[in-house]
Amino acid sequence: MKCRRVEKLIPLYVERDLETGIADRISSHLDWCGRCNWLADEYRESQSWLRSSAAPEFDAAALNAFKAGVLSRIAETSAKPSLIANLLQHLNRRQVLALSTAVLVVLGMVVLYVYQMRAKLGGPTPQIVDSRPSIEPGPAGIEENPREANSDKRRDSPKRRIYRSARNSGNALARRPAAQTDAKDRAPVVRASLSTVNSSGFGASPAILRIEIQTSDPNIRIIWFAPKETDSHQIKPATD
Amino acid sequence: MPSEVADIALMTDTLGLRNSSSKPAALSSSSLVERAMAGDPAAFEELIDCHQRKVLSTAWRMLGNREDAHDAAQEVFLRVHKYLGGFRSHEDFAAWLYRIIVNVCRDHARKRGPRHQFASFESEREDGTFETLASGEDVEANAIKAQQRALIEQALDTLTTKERAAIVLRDLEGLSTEEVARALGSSQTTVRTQISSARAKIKQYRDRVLKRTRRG
Repeated sequence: MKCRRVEKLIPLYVERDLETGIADRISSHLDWCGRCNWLADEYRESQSWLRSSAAPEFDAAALNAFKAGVLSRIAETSAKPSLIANLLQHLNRRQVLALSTAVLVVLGMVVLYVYQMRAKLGGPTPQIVDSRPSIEPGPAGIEENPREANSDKRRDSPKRRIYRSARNSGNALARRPAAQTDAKDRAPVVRASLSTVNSSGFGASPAILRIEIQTSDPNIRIIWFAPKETDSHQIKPATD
Repeated sequence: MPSEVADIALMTDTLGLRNSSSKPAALSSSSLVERAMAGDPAAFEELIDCHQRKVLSTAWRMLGNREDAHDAAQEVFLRVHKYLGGFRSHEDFAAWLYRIIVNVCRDHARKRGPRHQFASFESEREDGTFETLASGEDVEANAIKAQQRALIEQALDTLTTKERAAIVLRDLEGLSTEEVARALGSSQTTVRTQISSARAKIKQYRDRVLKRTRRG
């Protein structure tokens, strides 16, 4: 064993904190290595110096005062024990475990019961509505700015429509009786109308298709315009 | 009569701690604990009588001053009273108690923040800490002892909280490495590392003090 390793182990060796095999190897090293032997002696002296400090002494009066202090503090704290603490004091670990398991099971059963009752009553569970528009021919509408129409279209993406209609149906559910809500919620939420707009508002552009969608909310109507496919859109070969 | 019982119990408990093979000691201690667990207030008082010296001295060595040790020791017995219901009677009560002492002292040291400068012998004598020592015939010898104790406490102050706990339990309280590991809630290897480092630091401190003394 090398001196470097022995130096590291000497603090443990001097108090016999090492396994026998390692301790024997260090002992045999110390037999011939004077420097390590000297270091071991230094550690032994240091340890005896540390142990020379006697345990702090306490006279009987101090100990009695201490005990009285402890007992009075215990009396203070145990004057108003909480219900749970009181219960736990009288139960051992297994009983506490069994009790908490029983409480958990009962709690789980109550939650299950409530959930089933709500499902039976047709509680406000989110519904996915059919967002496909049923296209109906409608009267020609008022001309709108195509930009606004586009922004409306962006605002009323299918996801938003589903969310809004679900939210509306949820609100309505809170106000209406269950039977009524069932019938209305099953009905298609979105209705659409199709019409053709004159090209006068758009200069020389061709006739525009106007698609109007009425959502379940009477205040929200989606209108967008699309260029009508005509023969003029077809690329004609260049003629002389 | 109760104090005699307490003294005997203290002796037997000390034996039980150092030598786990002494069955009667373990039995007497365990019967006392069982009575205290059953809610017997007299048994709990006896339990305090048995262990208060040990708890106070260990807390003092861990925290380094009397006031903190006193507060910590009171807290230890409060916790013992509170959690005695959760103690398994087949376990070693002394080991359980040491675990509580270590935890309380750690909490106390954390709350207190950086350690105070260790109190000088003069200030402690004024406080009456060394009343017992000073009342002896050889005042000078007592003064030297107290000074040496202060130096040792300063040496212990150079250690980290964990190292200090490990060295106090192993070298000053005389617990085995296994018992220290159980009390500290760490492995024996970790305890050995902490003890080794602590012993090296204490030796370094002692060397510095000796050098200073020789120069002076």
